[in-house]
Amino acid sequence: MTITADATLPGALGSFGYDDEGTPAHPVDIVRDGTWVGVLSGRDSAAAAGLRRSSGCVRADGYARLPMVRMTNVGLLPGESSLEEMIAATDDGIYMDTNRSWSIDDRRLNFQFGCEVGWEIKNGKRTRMVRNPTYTGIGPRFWGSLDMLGGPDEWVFWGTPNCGKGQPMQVGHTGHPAVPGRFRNVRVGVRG
Amino acid sequence: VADHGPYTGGSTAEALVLADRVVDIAAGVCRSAGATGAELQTMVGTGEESLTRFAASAIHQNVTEAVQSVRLTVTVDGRAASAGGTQVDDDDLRRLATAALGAAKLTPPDPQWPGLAPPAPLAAAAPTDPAPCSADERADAVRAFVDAAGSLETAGFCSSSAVVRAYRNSAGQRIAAALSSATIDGIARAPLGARFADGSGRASGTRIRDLDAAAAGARAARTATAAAREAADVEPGSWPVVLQPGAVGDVLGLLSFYGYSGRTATEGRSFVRLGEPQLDPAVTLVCDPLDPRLPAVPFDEEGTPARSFDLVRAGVSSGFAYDRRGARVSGATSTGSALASSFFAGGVASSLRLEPGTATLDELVASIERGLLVTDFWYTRVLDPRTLVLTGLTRNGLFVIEDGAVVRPAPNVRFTQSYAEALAPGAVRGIGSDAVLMLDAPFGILAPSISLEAWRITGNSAG
Repeated sequence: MTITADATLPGALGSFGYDDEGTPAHPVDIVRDGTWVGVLSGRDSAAAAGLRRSSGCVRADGYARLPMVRMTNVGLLPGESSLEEMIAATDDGIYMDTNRSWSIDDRRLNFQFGCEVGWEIKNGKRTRMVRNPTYTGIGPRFWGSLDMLGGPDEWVFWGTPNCGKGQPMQVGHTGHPAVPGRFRNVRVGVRG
Repeated sequence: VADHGPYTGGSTAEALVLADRVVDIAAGVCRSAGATGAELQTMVGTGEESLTRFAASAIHQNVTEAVQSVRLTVTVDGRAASAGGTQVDDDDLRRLATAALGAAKLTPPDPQWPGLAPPAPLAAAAPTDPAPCSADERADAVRAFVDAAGSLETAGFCSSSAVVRAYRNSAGQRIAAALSSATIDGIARAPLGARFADGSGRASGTRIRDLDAAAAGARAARTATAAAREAADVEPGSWPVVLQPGAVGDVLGLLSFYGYSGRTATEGRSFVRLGEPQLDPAVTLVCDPLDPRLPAVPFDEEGTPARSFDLVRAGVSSGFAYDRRGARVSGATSTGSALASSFFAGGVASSLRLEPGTATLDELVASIERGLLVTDFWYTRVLDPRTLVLTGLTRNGLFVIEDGAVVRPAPNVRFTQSYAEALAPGAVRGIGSDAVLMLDAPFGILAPSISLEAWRITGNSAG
């Protein structure tokens, strides 16, 4: 898997020409082939971290707010498979579609997501619909279980227009390009 | 930290004059455009919002913002549109009115348009002068918090707000009030191996001089010190819990938003059935914007005077919060619960008080054989609004209770729990006397600790 922060993607929610420190938008590798290699940064934090240059992520949501490091388009690059192939290659699983809730701990490790809809996969076929599907886990372990990724024609520039950060609160547009992925041995269906 | 100078936010009398001018100018614009029946309402606000943040036990950010806002809503034959701005010259206000009127004409008529709030006095005398807070006062509060934490590293903020708000409409409603509040909120961190254990402390009130910042800092330090021991994970399952005010405030705010808003009921998204004993008899939850301990403007965004009403009385679901439209749809009366953001459309009870019990925190803990003591919740999100099932995590201090005493800290856990079920009849073991005010816009919540029979832990640091 490879994750980039790339504010140059045409039409994506987190795209712009220059950040609020004047750094031109440019793609930055965050994870390259499964290895963590980079971070989001501004001019000051890049210098403090010993990086060669700012990754151009500094933005403010208005004239009266302090610019700070925000996500740009932080997303997953496509692989070589497809959703159809993933389903066909899965004996027993859940196909989850469209996150509608998200919660993660203060160390950004333990996460739980709820989805709008899901379907059981049995013997390579999508079967009955499931209500209120959820999945949960520990971030690095979850990503380590990835074994199939959708291809370039399934790459969608997801994102959110109301990502919050800072105090006073600043609202930002962030993009999250992604393709379908298959993850093994994930805990699903947590109920209260 | 230098002071920024005297308060320049204006008075309620000045805000009313501005509100008059907005409506007068908008009326002229509408007359000129032939919209003679236009219904006009405006909310204006002026004042200052200030924030002093600290990290590594030192202030690193100190900002004050002079705020001035005007929101004008024009309704023509049930077609409504709002426009807002920060500039108040006559030409600016004409442009604002022209924009609102133009947008209103393009809006479909609302068959449930309830009309403007009629003239009505405030339920009680409201403050007319805000209580501004200087940068020095905020810095003093931060110093008290930091000093009280002793050698532990601290981080957090001290915020203050001093504003006046005035509402005026073309039906004759004309009211204004001042609103002041201040908060100190922070953590102390005690070393725990390569990481830290955090504890939190906070205090809010209408005036900064009423806040005991030293007590908040001492509390944060006590909790962090107690949490700074390597400890085993808590196993998933159902646990009795004592929730301290920080966690209870989260429960109450979400209970109000998802359960006791008239709109959620109308749309079939609420668990609430009025008149039924859905919660434990120990639970009485009141929306009380007139409680002097709760900083609240004594009228809502539609000019309806705020009033006190029960959401839950002795466990029985007793009332929904409504704005004017929500009330009309439901055949009810507005409770004065209209908020500015469309996110809260329909009305939300935002000044909440859970009636306290008599128990101390120690007594609540002492009654539990084996359970958990929770300081705060974090990142709570609803999974199913109709059953009010949420997921979230603990934060700033989680402790295991055995045989009526706190015996050890524990790493934070994830829960997946129906808040309504957690408060169901027979599920509340006790309510504390230790109510704490928490301000988290738009909510002001007076929350005591509560002891509950069961809380479903569904994850820990292992997954």
